[in-house]
Amino acid sequence: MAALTTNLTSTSSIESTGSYCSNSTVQEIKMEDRPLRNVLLVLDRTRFCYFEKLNFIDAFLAIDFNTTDSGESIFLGQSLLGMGINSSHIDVLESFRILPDGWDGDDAVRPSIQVLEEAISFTKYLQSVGEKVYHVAPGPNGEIMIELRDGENAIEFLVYPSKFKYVLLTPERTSQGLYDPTLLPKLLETLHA
Amino acid sequence: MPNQGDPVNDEEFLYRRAYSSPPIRYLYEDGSATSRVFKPREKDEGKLSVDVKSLTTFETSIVDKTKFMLFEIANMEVLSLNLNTIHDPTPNEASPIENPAHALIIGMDADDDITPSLLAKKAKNVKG
Repeated sequence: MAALTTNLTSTSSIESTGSYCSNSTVQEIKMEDRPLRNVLLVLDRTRFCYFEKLNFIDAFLAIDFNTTDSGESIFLGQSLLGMGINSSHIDVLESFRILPDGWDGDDAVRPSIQVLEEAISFTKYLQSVGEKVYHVAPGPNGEIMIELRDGENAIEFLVYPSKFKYVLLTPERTSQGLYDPTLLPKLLETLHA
Repeated sequence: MPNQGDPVNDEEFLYRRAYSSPPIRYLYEDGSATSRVFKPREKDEGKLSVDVKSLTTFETSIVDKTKFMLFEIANMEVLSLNLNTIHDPTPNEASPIENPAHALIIGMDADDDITPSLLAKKAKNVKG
């Protein structure tokens, strides 16, 4: 097995309700100095496995600096961060795989496999960083909406067959644009303001 | 009877029908409308089908209570978003269905995903 090393690359704090992961800080995980992309690792003393593909970020895991245990168990603790908070929405998205054309009783376009996989992957990513999804819904043009809410603020992420958009809705302003992962921290900051 | 293209009176209320199967989540769990309910289909070129409330009934507009829900929105709210509403009675070349109450909300850009959200927030679920 290749050696696993960690390099601190970010200082963003993560609040976690998991008993394994309080006072955590985001770190980038590297294997033999090569950043791991599109994987989330789950480790303990005896296991080493690829847990989930993530299409939108490098692999980020949280490290609990309070622990005195080995890194492996720390990583296992991180895997609990956000675990399950979006599972019902992921199940709903999975169920959309069998939607036919005209699923709305009219002539709505069914979401493609590519759209669904992008939506599922993004929802899982939000889960991995502890961001709870409020609602997911199909749209008439083959798109999937993934909505976050905090009070009167909302963000709709819209995965279309040919684009990925966001719509920010607050009492003070509305905006929309093409989604870029680099926008996410600012969008979430506005959502939770 | 209004003619095709006539503006709908400012004081009118409009019905928008939406598929209501809970597993599909087109609506929120509390029965309110998501933005997708007010998103025009690409082929409709920014036009959104509605019924003019004063020209129809709940039962006629909803067609099938087991499949659909009706949402009501004041035309004033639509106009306040810089949209227009015109009568589009059918049957016509676009639809063979008999519906003299049919109207269109027009003026939404295909790339506009803000306005559907604003319309959804202003719409109320109507119980028959």
